[in-house]
Amino acid sequence: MGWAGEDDLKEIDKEIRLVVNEAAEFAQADPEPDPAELWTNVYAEA
Amino acid sequence: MAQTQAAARRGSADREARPEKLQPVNTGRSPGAFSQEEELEAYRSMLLIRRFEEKAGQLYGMGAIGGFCHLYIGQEAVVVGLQMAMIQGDQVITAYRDHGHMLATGMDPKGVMAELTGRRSGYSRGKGGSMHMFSKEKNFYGGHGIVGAQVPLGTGLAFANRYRENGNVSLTYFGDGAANQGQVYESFNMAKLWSLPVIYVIENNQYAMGTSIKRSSATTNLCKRGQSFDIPGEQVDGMDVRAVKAAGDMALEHARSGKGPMILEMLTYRYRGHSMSIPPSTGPRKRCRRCAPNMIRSSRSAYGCRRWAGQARTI
Repeated sequence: MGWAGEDDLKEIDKEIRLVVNEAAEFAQADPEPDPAELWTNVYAEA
Repeated sequence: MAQTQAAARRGSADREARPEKLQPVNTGRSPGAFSQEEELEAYRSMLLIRRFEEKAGQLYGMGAIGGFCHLYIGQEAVVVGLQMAMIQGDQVITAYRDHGHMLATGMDPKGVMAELTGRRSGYSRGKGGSMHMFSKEKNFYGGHGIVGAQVPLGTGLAFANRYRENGNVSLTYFGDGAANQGQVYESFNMAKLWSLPVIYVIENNQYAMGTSIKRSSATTNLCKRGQSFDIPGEQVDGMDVRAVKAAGDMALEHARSGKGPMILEMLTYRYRGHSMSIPPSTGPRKRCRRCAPNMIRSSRSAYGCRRWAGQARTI
């Protein structure tokens, strides 16, 4: 009986934490936009 | 003695300030049971949003995220339930509290977080930030900073669906605050007039920034806001992912079969302040003793508490 025990849910919890921590680390290690991007994507190309 | 009196006063303030849980009107439709797979999928998706938002809040506190940042914590069941009811190609558009919608549509958490921190690999190349992310691939159309501005845009997406006869439906999300915007009703009119396949999802978290819906809205039953356009509406318990999914199934079927727009009012609640730049538990508001002890209470009465207003003048 039961679709998921406490351990199964903890396993999901662990996976999610890993995904989120990876995202956070990636987001802090990734370089900032190139200064050349300053004026790109502001106006439509004529 | 003085202490007990103060405690009694606090107690009565507690009772006064505790928000009452809104109960949806009974539609007679049962929430519907989930299969094991659905239960676990819903849990996983909601948990991802919750943990992601907690991390975003943490990074914001560390100064790694600049600009605005509106957390979705508390409202997860709304977006997850509806996503489970959607089919490939249905579009999602929302306002600025958008991280949950992006994760639910399957956008990459790395790309979303990198956008929050303003980095190159972010969904808008680090130039959009929290409120401005899009993914054509996942049919997520933003990510809009202007309250209510996504409603005409979402109606336009529905117009495109009808024009192309592609059988898709546009899910246009907005909040209880935006429900008082003029452009919402212009959109309702056109959507009904042309029978557009759009579902207006009102995420009623009861507070427009810090203002209670009761202080800002002449009528608070938002699912009835389409009445004068003959748009049907339904209230849903937005804290129950099964009820949301069941309502989504019904509404999507309605819109897809050419019967026109529908309104779903999701009764929900956000556990955090309006945005990270208006944190509920730090800053000047701490000085207001009536508001400070309880985060929910302080976010609720942020602008409604006279003592806080008085303090604001003197700070």
